[in-house]
Amino acid sequence: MKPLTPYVHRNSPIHRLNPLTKGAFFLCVVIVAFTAPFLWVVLSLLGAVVIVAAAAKVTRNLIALVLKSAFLIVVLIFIVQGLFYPGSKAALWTIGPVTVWREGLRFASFTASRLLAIIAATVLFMLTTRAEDLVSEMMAHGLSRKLGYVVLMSMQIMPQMQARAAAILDAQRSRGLETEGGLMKRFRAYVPIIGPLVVGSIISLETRSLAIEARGFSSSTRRVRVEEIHDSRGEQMARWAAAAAMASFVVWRLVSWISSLIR
Amino acid sequence: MSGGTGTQVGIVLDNVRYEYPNGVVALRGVSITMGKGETVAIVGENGAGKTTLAKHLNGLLKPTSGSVTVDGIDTRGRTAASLARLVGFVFQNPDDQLFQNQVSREVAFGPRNLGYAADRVEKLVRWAVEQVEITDLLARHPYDLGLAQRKLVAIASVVAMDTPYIVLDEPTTGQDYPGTEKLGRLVARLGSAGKTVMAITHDMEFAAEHFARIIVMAQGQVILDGSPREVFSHPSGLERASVEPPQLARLGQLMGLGECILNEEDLLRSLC
Repeated sequence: MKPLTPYVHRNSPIHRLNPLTKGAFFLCVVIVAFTAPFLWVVLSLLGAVVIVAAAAKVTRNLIALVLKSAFLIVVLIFIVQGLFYPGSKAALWTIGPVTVWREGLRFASFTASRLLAIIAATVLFMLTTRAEDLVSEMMAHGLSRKLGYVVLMSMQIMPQMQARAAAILDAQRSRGLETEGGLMKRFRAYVPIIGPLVVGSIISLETRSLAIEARGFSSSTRRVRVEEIHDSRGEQMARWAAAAAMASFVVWRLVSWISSLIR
Repeated sequence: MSGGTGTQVGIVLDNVRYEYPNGVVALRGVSITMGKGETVAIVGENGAGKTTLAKHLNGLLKPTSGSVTVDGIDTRGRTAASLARLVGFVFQNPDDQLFQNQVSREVAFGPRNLGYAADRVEKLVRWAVEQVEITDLLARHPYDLGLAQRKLVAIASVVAMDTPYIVLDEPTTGQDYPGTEKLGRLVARLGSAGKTVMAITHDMEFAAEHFARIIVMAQGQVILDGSPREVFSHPSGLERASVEPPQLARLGQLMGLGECILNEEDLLRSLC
């Protein structure tokens, strides 16, 4: 079964960081990249992400995944903004009826950089952090046990359901159900495939709830953890610092935005 | 030893090799011929390639190299749905295929897909539930039945397609003794109706008692292929495949009885 998150295991200091620390810095990058007024800030964030990825030995995975998820949309941004940016005055070059505008390209490169920085940070976070560790750490810091279970379960259940859907597809095709071909054929194939999938999921849900209850899921005693996740005073402070920096950055952006409105 | 000689074309696997997309080689050069009316049990430990092999018979999987032909038709270039007319396939888990709210409708789904007229579908449904001995369940909701009975419904729903070849993936799992006996009678009936039945199974008593031919697989290869008596007199091959012969065969071996003991009659005969 293919896992849902692209986590790759490496022996690196980044992988060893507490998931919450990584999460805090990931949020920082996202917020700053989204609101920073200067291109150089966004570009240096992108650079920082790549450097951290190199330290985590996942540069190649990062580049591959970012290209895969962002390439098309970045190209679209350049085309749409380069050609149709409102209020453009400076034509860069004109080929026939098509004019590429300087302002449009500038805006496009800014937007695309923001997007790339956010996507790269997200991918890096997922490459270096196991979802189970993140949720388990969040639960240790007060996230509700049920919510944590729901998050983890839904992540684990997706690949399972995909595998089951494939098995059902095979079973029904073996009974002569045509799943390839016109729209009508595909539509008719829907019920025989969704039916067993839904019923099966309900059955396994019921079984699962009994199974975890039998192992004391809703017991109210204090829990110990199988796997202690590394944390340190330094990391805790770094998290607080990140949160504080983030908060002051947001306040600064809000203030400058409001004052620009007043002016 | 191969039982395919002298009969009609049937299913021919020629040096079939199959590699899964993740690089696991599940079949390493398998050549088997199965004729009309043969009853074949495929045994071997988990991961030996039994299900992968079975999925080649109706085109769910296509060989990476080598070829599979069903009555002379190469499975490459044919969809599983179009081969469903020739080869019926019952999956291990009945819940992967049951979706109707009544057993009769469930059983009718396959023959309907094959485009048979309403009266023929009705006849086939009746015939199929008689073969599997679940006529009393026709009006029930499949999910009101227990797993063992759902499994029988799934088998009937494939039998109803009236294909010349039928593949059963672990039919006896979860069946009690009467259920297993039902399946044994089904195999015999289908075989004498000229249909070829292949069953993947871990139940050696079932294989020895109800099938004329047993194919033993290990690590993606066929290790032994022959009648139960022939197969179960090769302890070294069986050991390589991690297959344990039926209890009486082991007993016979321990007692140093010459011939291969498969059932009570064998035992009595060689003791008297």
